[in-house]
Amino acid sequence: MLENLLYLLSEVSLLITMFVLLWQKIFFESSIKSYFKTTKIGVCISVLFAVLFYNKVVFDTYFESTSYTVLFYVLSSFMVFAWLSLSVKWFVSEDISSLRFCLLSVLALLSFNVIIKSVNLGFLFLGLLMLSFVNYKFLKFSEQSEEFHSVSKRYILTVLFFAIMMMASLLILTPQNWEYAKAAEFIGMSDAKLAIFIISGILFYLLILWGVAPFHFCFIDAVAPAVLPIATYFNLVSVFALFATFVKLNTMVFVPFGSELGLVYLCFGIFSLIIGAIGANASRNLKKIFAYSGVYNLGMLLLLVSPFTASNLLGGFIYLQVYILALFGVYTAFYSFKSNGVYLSNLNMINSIAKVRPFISASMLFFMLSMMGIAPFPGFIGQLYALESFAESSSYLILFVALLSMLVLMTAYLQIVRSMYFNQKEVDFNRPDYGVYVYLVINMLLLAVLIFKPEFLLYDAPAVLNVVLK
Amino acid sequence: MTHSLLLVIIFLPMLGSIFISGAHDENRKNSVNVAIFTVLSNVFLILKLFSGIDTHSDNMQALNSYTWPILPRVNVVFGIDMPSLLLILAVHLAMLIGIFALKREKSSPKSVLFFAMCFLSSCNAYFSAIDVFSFYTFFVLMIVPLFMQIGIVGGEKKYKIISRFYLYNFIGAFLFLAAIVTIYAVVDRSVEINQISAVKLGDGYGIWVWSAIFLAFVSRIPVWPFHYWITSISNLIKNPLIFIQLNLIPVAGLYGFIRFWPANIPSEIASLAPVFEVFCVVTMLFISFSGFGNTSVKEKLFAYTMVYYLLYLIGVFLPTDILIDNIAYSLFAFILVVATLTISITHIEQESERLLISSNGILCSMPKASLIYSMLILVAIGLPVSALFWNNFIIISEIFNVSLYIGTAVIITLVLASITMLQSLYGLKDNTCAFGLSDKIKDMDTTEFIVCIVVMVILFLSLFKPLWFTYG
Repeated sequence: MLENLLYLLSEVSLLITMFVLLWQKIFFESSIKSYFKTTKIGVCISVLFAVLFYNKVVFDTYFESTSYTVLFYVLSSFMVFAWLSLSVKWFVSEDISSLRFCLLSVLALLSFNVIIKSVNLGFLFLGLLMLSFVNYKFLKFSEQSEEFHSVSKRYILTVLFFAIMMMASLLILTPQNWEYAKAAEFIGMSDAKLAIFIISGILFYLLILWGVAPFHFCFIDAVAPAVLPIATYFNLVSVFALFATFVKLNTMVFVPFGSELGLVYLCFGIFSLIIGAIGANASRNLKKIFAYSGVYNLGMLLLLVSPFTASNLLGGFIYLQVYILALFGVYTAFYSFKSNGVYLSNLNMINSIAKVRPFISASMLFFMLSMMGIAPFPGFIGQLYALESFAESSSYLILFVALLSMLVLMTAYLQIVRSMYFNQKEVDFNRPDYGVYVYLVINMLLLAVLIFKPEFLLYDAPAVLNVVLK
Repeated sequence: MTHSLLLVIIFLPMLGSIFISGAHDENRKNSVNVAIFTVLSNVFLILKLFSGIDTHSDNMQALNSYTWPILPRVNVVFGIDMPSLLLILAVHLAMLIGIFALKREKSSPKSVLFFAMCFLSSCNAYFSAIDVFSFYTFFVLMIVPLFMQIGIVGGEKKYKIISRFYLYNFIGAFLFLAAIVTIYAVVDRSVEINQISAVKLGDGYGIWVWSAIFLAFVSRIPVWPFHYWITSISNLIKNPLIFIQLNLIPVAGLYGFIRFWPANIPSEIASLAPVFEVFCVVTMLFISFSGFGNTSVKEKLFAYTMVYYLLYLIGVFLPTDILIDNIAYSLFAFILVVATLTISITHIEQESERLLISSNGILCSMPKASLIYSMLILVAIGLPVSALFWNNFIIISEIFNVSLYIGTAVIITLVLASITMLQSLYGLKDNTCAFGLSDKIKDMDTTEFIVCIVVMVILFLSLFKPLWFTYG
């Protein structure tokens, strides 16, 4: 009993963090920063226990704990930690209570834990449902206008529709086949149409939360008008957990339909590239541009990992790491784009910012060049790997579409460069928090390490990723 | 020693750019001094490296390599031979001339110098790249700083010109990328440029890969139909340093052909060389006629420059690789001539704009500028006063050796280009157009004059021995 409790300490510590937050609220009336501090400590403790008991699990028919799950849980927690550290600046600036936000963050991390570790479709469903609820509550959080009210309503209705689809799939599977291995067996033996229905129900729910085209509309709808911490959450925080779950499902459950799904991912991937590149060019809102850029990058990731071989998985992992680091850098820079105390989100509002904030603009340029995949910036390695894998499999059409959409997406980034460097100034900018500089420097150093000494950040990654393929 | 020296030469300008970005100066004096110091130090190191290599060897020397440890089997290799090191030296001297001219430019922010140093660093890396990956990397990277500089001081029509710049250069870059990923996919390891001909690309792929590489390089050279972007940009750029850098972009394309074409090109695309030569000659004729008919001195210089680049390109396309050293010697002198002419013309144009007068006859009131301009025109048109004379003579005779028609057409265009330059000299020195403002016209300042004289001396010495600064 005590041993089991020890193995659950990673999850228990998150629950305790939630209690502590509420306790702080009731008894101390704590400040904005103290809630964040408590949450961050809770996240660190959870990670510590996850690493300590990295191969121990309590309910082994429902969950698994391997180096693969721990890796992605640690990465997700790291993202949550970094995101909380950035978000505190927004809350202090707006002087809004952060209790609800911190509670939701812990709940989000808990749902990441469940979906990453789960080897049972029922628990996966519960995890995804919890994540949908957290997402919805986050959207409600940034509800400032009637327009946004309808956005959150649309979001929850769409997500619920896909949740019902997944529930229908699970009911067809029946609870005794919810275990991943048994589900794979059931799908393999079922009639093709039924199997496709089951797979679609599970997959589409995951993809709508992930934001891959053609399921991107909810994601874009939510990110563009959201306040900065929420936009950061949707674009960055959940990506690692959903990626890990997607790979697990494809290597453990959908295996009998691997080749058919390969074609589906090919279509979704190409569609995401096109939608992402065109959408980014059509937007003037910075968050929306990067949301579309996220769709593009997810498309590239999908195309890259979809053969689910060891090398493709490693390539996808590298691509994802560089993309997340670069995008996090971009969002960090957004926290310094302020005028008269208001965070700027329109392209024309950041005109000529390079003249007054040269370091921030230069780092933003560095991150964008990285995301453009311009050599020798870090993003190029991931990009080269993706393109090389298309060429290796003689998929020259995909190579052509990828390069063309990259060229189109680059024009959207160049619009931002143009605003920052070439246009005439329109507003006066506030002095940024020094913390932003610190985060930017750390971020650039991490990217530099990834390009020059990748073994430091990717130590043993190939072996860890291979665990999911066994 | 020579191994690490090459890396220092590549990265020193980048270090200089960091110092420039941190320089606190309103009038940019410190940043200009840092830039001059950086480039001069690098020139010294290049001369030192020249003394450490065998200039007669065809092999790459001072090799440095770095293997990317995980994926995708990237092995970056740097090294140099005589032509590449000579081009690096020419680029440094041209940039130095441009930076001296920038002292006069009040409207040019220090960010231009910052990006100019980044450009210089990427040029050094590009000319030293041996493997396909780093060759591509720096082929792309060198246009980013130039893009930023054009955007920062590009004038009213900058949005139009940066769009064109972006479109042409990045399409070329992506074609190159498509080609190298295909090569990577086939060989599954890093490839050096001199090994590329041994790569068996399979039926049908070879022609596509080589066409993509060809188009990538040609997009940097003003051959029809790619000539439009560079002409439209150069017409709008007033900053001498940026103009010089813009004129170095075709050198990148040309260098790409020098490295890839003679030894590596497969037969299916090599058989198309005469067609490319015809394209080059037609473009040369077109540009030389347009330069002849144009009244702007700067556009005449631009037409002259492009005609000569195309001459070198025809030289590269010839079915022989004995001309590479001659092309390098000639390019060295040519880059210096064009850079010095650029700063002279910028000075003339600035004076004519300041006093709201025509530039005709303006040299009559500028004795120092007049002397420099006249001497440079004599060098430019190919009189026997620099390395241009001997080496162009050899290139043209080889063209005649291969095709009489192409040779004749080339001679016609070169004569037209020379007349164009003489026409500009005549216009600027026409004393019938002298005006009553001669006492208000400022002559070239002493520093610039000394720089130009030094360049003339270098050019003159190169007539007798192109590598006069080496011991061997």
